[in-house]
Amino acid sequence: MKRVSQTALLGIALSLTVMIFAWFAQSAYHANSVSQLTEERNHGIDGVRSRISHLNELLEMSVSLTATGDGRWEERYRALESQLDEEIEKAIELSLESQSGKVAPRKRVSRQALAAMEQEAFDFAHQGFPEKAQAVLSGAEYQERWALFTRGLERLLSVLADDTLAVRLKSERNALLERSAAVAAICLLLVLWLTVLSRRRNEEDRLRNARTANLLASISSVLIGVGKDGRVTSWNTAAEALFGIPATEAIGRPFQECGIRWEWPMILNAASDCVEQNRPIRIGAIRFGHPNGGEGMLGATANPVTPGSVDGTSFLLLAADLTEHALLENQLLQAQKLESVGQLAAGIAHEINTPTQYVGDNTRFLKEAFGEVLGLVGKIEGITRNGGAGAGSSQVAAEIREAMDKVDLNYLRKEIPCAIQQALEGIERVTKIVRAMKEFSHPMREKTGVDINRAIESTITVARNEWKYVAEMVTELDPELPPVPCMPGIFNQVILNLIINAADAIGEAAKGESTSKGTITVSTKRDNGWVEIRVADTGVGIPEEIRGKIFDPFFTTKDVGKGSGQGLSLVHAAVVQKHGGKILVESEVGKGTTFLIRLPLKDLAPVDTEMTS
Amino acid sequence: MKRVLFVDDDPNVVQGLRRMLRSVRYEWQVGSATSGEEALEAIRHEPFDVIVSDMKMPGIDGAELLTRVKSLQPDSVRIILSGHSERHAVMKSVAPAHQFLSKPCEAEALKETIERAYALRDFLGTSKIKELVSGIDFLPGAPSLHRELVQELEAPNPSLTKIAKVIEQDIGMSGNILKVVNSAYFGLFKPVISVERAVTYLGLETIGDLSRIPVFSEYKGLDMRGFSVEALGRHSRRTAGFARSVAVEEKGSEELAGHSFQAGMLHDVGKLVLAAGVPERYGRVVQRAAERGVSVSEVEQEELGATHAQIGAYLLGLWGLPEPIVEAVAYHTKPMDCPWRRSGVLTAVHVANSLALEIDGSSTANDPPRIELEYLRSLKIDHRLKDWRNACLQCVEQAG
Repeated sequence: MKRVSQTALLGIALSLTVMIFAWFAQSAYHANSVSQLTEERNHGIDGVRSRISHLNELLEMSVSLTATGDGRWEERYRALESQLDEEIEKAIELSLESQSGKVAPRKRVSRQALAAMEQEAFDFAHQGFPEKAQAVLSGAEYQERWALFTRGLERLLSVLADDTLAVRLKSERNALLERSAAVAAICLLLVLWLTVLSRRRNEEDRLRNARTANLLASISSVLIGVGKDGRVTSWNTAAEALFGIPATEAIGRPFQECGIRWEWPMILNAASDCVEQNRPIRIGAIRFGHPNGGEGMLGATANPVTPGSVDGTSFLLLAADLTEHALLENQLLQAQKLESVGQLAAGIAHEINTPTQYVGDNTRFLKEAFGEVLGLVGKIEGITRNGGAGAGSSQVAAEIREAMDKVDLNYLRKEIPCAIQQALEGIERVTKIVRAMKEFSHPMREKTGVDINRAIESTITVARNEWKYVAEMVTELDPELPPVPCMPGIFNQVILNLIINAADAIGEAAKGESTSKGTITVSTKRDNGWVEIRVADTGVGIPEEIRGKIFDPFFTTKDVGKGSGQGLSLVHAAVVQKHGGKILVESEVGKGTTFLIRLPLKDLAPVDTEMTS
Repeated sequence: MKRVLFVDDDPNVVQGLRRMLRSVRYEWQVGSATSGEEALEAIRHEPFDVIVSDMKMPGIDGAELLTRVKSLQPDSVRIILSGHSERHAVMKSVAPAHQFLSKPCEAEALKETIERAYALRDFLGTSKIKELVSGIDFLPGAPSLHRELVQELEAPNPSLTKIAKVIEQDIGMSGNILKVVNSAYFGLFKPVISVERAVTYLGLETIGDLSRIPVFSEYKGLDMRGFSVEALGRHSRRTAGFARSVAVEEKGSEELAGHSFQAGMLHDVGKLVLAAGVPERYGRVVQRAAERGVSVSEVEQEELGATHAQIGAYLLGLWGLPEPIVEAVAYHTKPMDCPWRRSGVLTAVHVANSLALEIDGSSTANDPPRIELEYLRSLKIDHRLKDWRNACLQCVEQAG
């Protein structure tokens, strides 16, 4: 609605301006032409008046001179008289247009009566009676008529004079009026335009604000502004939606009392660091409480606001809901685990099938052998019973020997313990594999104190079929290692990936020469607040040019179908993000590669901290 | 003495196997090796009749070992004993190995497999043909059928039914697929004899893999004077159909009918082996038989030391195909020689083969088509002959 009136106002202002200026132009032109006319007329009137006075004086003089009988003056008299008549006629005409309202006395300015008496006087003079002529002219009648004429003439002239004055006054008054009207119009326009402009500016401000508000609202990330006084200055729609707190409720409140349930210490530390150091501080992943009671994961950054911000905001907290992302990441880990389990399954089957084979064979052998031994014992029993007193005789001894030879007792004596030993070994191997599988498939997420030596051994066992054909496995595990806070499932995955990589690297190096086996060395040791795990191989090594890329997702040197390219990138994510650890790689082409993982013994970024509400 | 060599990279496995075979220590001489290299060294020193090898070993693996053994000692019986279930590994070894056993393997099953291989070897005696047969990885197929199979496999939506129908019609390809599907890798409790079931069981992907090994190929230029592989194929298809009809006529089970069909298809596989392996020699054999007016089997026995029936049976036995099939192939010309007297696949194949020759005429001019009436009499089924003949004639009419 405001916009419409804004447009109307602008229209009005524009048309008024146009109209007023048109009027200015018109009136200026008009005034100009009027004053020109007036001037001309006034000029004409002045000319007529002065010419009439002048002619009248000349005529008076020529009358008296002609009356003396000077014939030359009579001629001049006639010329002057007609000139005067003409001028008077003009003056009368002018006085008719007079605007002063006074009327010129036409009859009283007629010289007819005077001219008749002057003619009479001139006739006397012609006849040679100058005295008579003089007498006529100086007679009372003539004098009276003269006076009458002179008065009439004066009146006419005064009418004309009045008229010019009146015209002048009038035009002056008009000019004044016009000027004040113009001033008024200009003032009006000024006011109008000022209004238009100011309203326009307001409108622009409003639009700009609306745009900013729209922008803020359309950001899917949470945006919270906090002022120097620690109060919330802005709160966008995403924040409203995610935390279930309307902006109207949050803005103006102290930040810490805005009602969000999340890990406040991390947020506040980051906020103060960001303001002090005047640089954005990333908070990483923090947990928060959904309004419906569930929990989610946020990634947040505190950004300092440059001084001079209008609303006094000192930092902006930008946060994105990572719950979905975290879930996906988890699923990816799970998928990778399944992938590796699938890969391992065939190997594990083999690892179990092989001992099962020889446990079965040995047990069957023992069954047979036991039967034979029992048979032998039975025979000896029989011989001793039958022989009775004859036991010990050479014949009995020969019989027993024969029976012993038949079952090949020496062989049995040697083989039976071996068979038992190997059957037990087989059982032990199966047990170890099954136990390792159980440990390997530990749940992923919970962070606990883990005996990582044991975890490493389990993983090595589970993956045995993946490396045993190409490498010897050497473990140098520090027995003094304390429990390491980590997620065992993920840790196992990391070690598995590194072992499979190592085996692949050695397999790659051994291509062609089939007999030589490489070595994989897995070692652990403590280094102050850290635990170091090294997985070293004697494989092909990683060329310098790709060393920087090996942790990138989907980067793989394996053939299509052999690896997803996710192995090392997940190792990196698991070590760095999930455990706050470090991973380094040293490699020499043709010599081998060592991966070094450092995990903090003290959990720096506890995932399970209590929610602050 | 039977000489058996066990190869496994796990010494416990070979020791266990040796102990397990202690009961036959007077008949078997058991050697052992813990690597492919060691096994090859042992074979160079003294020949072994049977080699049982693990599949996955460091260095020379099972598939490679058996391939090398095949060239060193072609007549050896080669068996894979592996705990691996990776398809890739199995595919690698289907060609050089005659059979594929999976760990853990029952002692009795292993003993039986080896014993059976020996029985088959005795069957062929000392004939040089043994080397030829032992050296066969897969049999070639008829070009027309092979092309049809390839076409179907390359089609956008290959049909398993169609694939089965094509393979079923061919001696070589049906034999090959039964070799593969009956290897212990596929973990079947019962041997598969029906091509249709084999195809369904293996699935498109595996059949695609197999065709790349290649399990399916075609023979070229095998026609010689007096002998046509194409005619052999036609005769085999006829025999297969007849054998099924006879089995059905005898109220045999569906399984028996299926086995009879397949045995009928494979009954002359020995001829295919000879024609593909020693074409010139076999051409001479066929020619001589025609000249002398005697049966081909007779000349085969004289010239090669074994008949095509024995050769076919040996091959199928090596491949671990079930006993009734091998038996039917072995004795299809002379069922009286069979040590067991029972009505079954052999009966159906013998009758079907004879009737097919009777109806179509012999593939080799004067191979006398004769049913051993004595054999039928001994089974007390000689009175059924008329019904069978009618059933077969009906079968021919139906086929158009």
